[in-house]
Amino acid sequence: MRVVLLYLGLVGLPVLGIVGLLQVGQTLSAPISLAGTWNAQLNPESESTAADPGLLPQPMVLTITQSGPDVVLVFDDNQRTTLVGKIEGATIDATALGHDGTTATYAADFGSTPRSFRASIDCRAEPRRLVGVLVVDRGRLHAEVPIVAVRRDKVPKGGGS
Amino acid sequence: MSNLPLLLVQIAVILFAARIVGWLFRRLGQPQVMGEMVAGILLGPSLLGWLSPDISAALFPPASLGFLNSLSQIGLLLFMFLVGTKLNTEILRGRKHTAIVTSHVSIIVPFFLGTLLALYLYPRLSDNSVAFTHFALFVGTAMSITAFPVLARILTERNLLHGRIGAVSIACAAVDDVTAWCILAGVVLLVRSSSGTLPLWLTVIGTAIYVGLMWFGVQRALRRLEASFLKRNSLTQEMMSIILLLVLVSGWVTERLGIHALFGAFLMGVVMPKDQGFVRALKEKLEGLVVVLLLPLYFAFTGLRTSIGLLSGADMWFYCSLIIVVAIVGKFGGATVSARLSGMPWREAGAVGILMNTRGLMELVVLNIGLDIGVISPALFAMMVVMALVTTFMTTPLLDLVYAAPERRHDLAEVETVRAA
Repeated sequence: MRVVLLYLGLVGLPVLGIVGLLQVGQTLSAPISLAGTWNAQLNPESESTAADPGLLPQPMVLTITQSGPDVVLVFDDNQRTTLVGKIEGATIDATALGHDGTTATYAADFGSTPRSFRASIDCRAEPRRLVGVLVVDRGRLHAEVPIVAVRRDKVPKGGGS
Repeated sequence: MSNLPLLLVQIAVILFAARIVGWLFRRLGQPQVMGEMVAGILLGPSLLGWLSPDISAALFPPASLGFLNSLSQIGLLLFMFLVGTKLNTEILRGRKHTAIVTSHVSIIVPFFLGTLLALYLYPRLSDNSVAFTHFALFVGTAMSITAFPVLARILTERNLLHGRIGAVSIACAAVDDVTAWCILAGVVLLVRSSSGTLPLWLTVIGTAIYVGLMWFGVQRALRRLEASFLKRNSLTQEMMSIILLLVLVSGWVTERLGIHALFGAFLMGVVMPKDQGFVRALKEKLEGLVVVLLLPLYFAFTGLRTSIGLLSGADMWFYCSLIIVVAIVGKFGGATVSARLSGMPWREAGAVGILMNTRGLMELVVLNIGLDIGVISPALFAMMVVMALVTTFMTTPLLDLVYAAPERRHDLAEVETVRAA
């Protein structure tokens, strides 16, 4: 009898607690999911007057790794440029790792290098399409290049909150 | 097979690192497996990839990892089968109640605290492709794991297995393992059914039928195999091939049912006949290859997915510390209090709590499943790997502190006296 009471108290009560916590958690919301592989197209409108993206491959593959609002973006250019940033609402904002001069040197050696990236997604109308601007270093020049990225693999399950 | 030379180099490097680091950890009084886990992390982006990205990229190019992964998964499948064969209801004899209460409390308390922690972590480390329920259930499960095989090894090495503490802990860990794997199967099932691979009802009914078939059908057939073994007193190649075939088929069925191939292999091990000679013969044939060659590959593969570098910034390390504290408080606290309430003195109850807090390899298995099904993010994966390492590492020094040699000898002497009487 003592064991049964012990079991009910020590196991039954936490189970009820877990059920309650799961209910409370339904009200929480997490950042939008952007993790996965994206096909990125620079200068999607060919008549664009923006700078020539130079030696960057076209289309580029962009891999986004996400942990909550923190993201790591890796481009498949020669240097596998890595940008880190955050998601705020439906906007992703990322800059090159240690870009305090390092990126410019690379740019002079290898051609164009992505330096920062800012894009937004319309979760309702176009949940697979990021539209924004990629800032590219080319030598001492900075150029803002329009960019459109289309999600290649995972489609968000939309299971959250 | 142009990748064969690279694969051979990868295996050689992994084996070498596992042996060296394993040896170093043994010198520190840690189980070999702890060193092998750390070796895996060191070969990944957390150390080798950070110190020498070129060597890391040449040694482990992403395109080559498929072969390594396949090999390591086969190794893990066989390892889970071996873990299942070691689970014997005999170890519960005479302590069923204590074991079940202590074990279930040591699962439910960390599970509860894990769910509570999930409320805090979900907006910070997850995204809206993961439902809160799935996230919370997974974090809860990851917090409540005990590594039955590592525990068994620690108890054997410290000559504690036949003492009171060892007997209760191993019985609890056995119940713990089965319960935690059932919960994990449920979580995987929930997540996978929400992504539409198989309808939930079909998976549930299919799993129930499959477990029944294994328990009442396959188990009986295996007893005939055991009888044949006892008659010949040797495990023939034909017997081995039948057993291996059944392990693979069982893994395939559970994978197709939408849970995971590992559950099938584990279940196959659980329904295997438990005659000591039969299990020992099976272990002798399989364990060397699996533990020495294939498991380090799994650790390395886990290490290659673990990037401690993702834990950049004070907030990330704060989340990581919180996870470690909650894991320890939940598992150690839950097991200690319930063992005490079941009638054990504080010191012994504390020793049971310390032992149950060992997560080891089983935690890595659970975390890899979570990462594969997309329930946890890479950063949370890295944090939980750190938690698994910390909780496993602390077991032996804490046990030596709380339950030192004189207490162990006293415990064993007492058990011997009772046996003799």
